[in-house]
Amino acid sequence: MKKHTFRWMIVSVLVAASTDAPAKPPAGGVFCQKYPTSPECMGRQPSCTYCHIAPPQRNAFGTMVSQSLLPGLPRPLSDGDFAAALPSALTAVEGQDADGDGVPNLTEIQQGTQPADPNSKPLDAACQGSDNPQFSVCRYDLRHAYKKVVRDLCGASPTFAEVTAFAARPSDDDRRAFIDSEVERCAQTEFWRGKNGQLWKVAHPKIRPVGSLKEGEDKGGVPLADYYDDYALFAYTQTDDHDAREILTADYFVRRETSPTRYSKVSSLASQKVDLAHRAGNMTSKWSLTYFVMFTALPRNAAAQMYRSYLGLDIAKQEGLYSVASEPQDYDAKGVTAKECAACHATLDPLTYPFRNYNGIASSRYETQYIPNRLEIFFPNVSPRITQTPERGVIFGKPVNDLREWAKVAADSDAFAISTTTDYWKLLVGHAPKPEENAEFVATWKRFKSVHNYRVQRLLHDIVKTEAYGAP
Amino acid sequence: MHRNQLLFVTVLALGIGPSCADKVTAPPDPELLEPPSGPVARSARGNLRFKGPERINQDFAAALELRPDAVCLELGQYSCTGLVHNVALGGVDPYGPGLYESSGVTASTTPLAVERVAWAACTQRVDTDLATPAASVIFREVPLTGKKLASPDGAEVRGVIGLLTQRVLLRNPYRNEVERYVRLAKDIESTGNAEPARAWMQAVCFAILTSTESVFY
Repeated sequence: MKKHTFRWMIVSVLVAASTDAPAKPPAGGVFCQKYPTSPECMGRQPSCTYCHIAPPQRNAFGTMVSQSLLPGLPRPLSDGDFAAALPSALTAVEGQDADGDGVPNLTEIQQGTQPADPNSKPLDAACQGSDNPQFSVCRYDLRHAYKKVVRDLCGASPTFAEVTAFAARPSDDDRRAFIDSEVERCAQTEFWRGKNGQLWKVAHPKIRPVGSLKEGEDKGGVPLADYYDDYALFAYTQTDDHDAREILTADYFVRRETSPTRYSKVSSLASQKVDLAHRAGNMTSKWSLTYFVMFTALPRNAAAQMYRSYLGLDIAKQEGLYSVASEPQDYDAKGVTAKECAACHATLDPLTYPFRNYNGIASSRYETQYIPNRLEIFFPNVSPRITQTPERGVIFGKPVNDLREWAKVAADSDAFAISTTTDYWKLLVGHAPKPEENAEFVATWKRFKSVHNYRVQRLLHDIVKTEAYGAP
Repeated sequence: MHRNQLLFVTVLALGIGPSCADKVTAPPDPELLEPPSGPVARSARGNLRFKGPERINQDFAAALELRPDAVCLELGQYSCTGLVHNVALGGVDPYGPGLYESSGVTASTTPLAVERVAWAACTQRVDTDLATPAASVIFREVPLTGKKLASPDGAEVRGVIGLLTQRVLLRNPYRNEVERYVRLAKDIESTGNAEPARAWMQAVCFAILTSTESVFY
């Protein structure tokens, strides 16, 4: 066989395989119906990469499952056939070990590790060795936790005298109470809430500042918007007795004062333009509309960034896909109905519609504000159907009339509680929750949502009390 | 001057002058911990965290009683931890290059940056303590013979080791640690260093500040 003929055969097989095996949006839901207690299903669904390298290419686990999925039936399967057959296909591979790490697939599903990744497997957390004079390595160590709290939240170690005094406290209950009081004390410090403090660090990837475009304080070369307002709202919602959800739902603004830093609620700011009736927290700040909407008719980037930043769902990684039937409509004629695009855009486009009337960069009269009929006024020639774009959208399968309803559904979702808890878990524990920490993590975000009513400062106390934080 | 004014000035002068309580004394001989005889229990989690630029700066400043904004300055004006080596030490740089999150791992240049900061802090402390013994903070009342330590294994030297360990590692020193740093003094002297006392002070400070226990938590 000639070399180039052989190459063509390989290409043909790959193309055929790719067209016949698209990722199936129902897969996450079916998986979670079968394994509701899997960590992958705690307030979320597994992303496409659980079974795929990048759809349609499957990983080792996906390949194993597909071989048990209605073998012999012609591909592609309909969504209905796929959803009906997936549970038994999963059952068929439970006892096998797709990634060859010595842990059966079912154990990995139950423990929250990746069945296709040999480097991801449950940790044997058994204590080893004999004694340890400095740490209680097998359980929560109050002395260790105390030093960590002061370092994490105050930004400096306690002194030797303070550590000695802590150890001399009369009881462990007294020590626990003292740690709680230190959390409160440190949460008032500049290190925690001040400019460029820890809260601002949590906010950086959400706000994505650009110094050259900064307006106001620390003005850049091309001043367009003052993102310190966004940091101010973020810090305000994460401190004291404030509701963290208002980062998305706030119909107010926050003023920052310095020396010491204080954040206070106000009904207007000269640096912000969206009217209160259409304000949805940081999603509609001047900076967000400038940077994420810019000049776009349908700002998918804005919707995807909010979904990623505040709900922890990155559509680019095929996370948080809740396909809407008959979507994407492709009102702006970008070609998103193509098979390769539609799997994500069936979720992303309905997420984007509520942004249709929020203007980005424009003349100062029209910039960064809500303008009814914005598409009809400013973008009528983008495509033949652009003006048919509805303001109604869909998030998590729930229809919403506008961006404020979008924000409410988002803020009340498990995804928001999980994402917020993950932010502070990473900040304090030092990494995203590991499979062996999952039980504590789930209990923590559920308490944040129910018991603490979305108060971050109370969440901090809960994280500090976990074994993941306090056991060396 | 009226009598009351004179009395007021006298009281003020007495108040700001040195008092018996302010007299610098050598650190006490430390309470020594006995090193474990065998292997210690290992952490099952292994969740050791690097302190990062802010905590390293604050901790070095507090331990050596230096101004936080003067612990380490490149060219005498640019903060090592806040600016020049911030990213190497695990910091972020969101407004310029758009580095919104720390990499989460220490880089190949991180140890160099830690050592740069520790060396700057230690040399400052040693220089100040030697220049103004009456106000010394760490190397208090260490007897010298010329440029040498008068007694490398004397109580004052052990006291300094204990004080540094308490201030940096928040515990008393182990017996073998003290022995090691005493031996370091003798080793430095044997190299023919022109100022062995100063070199030992810098070295013991540097060794403790750059220890794993100091920069991780």
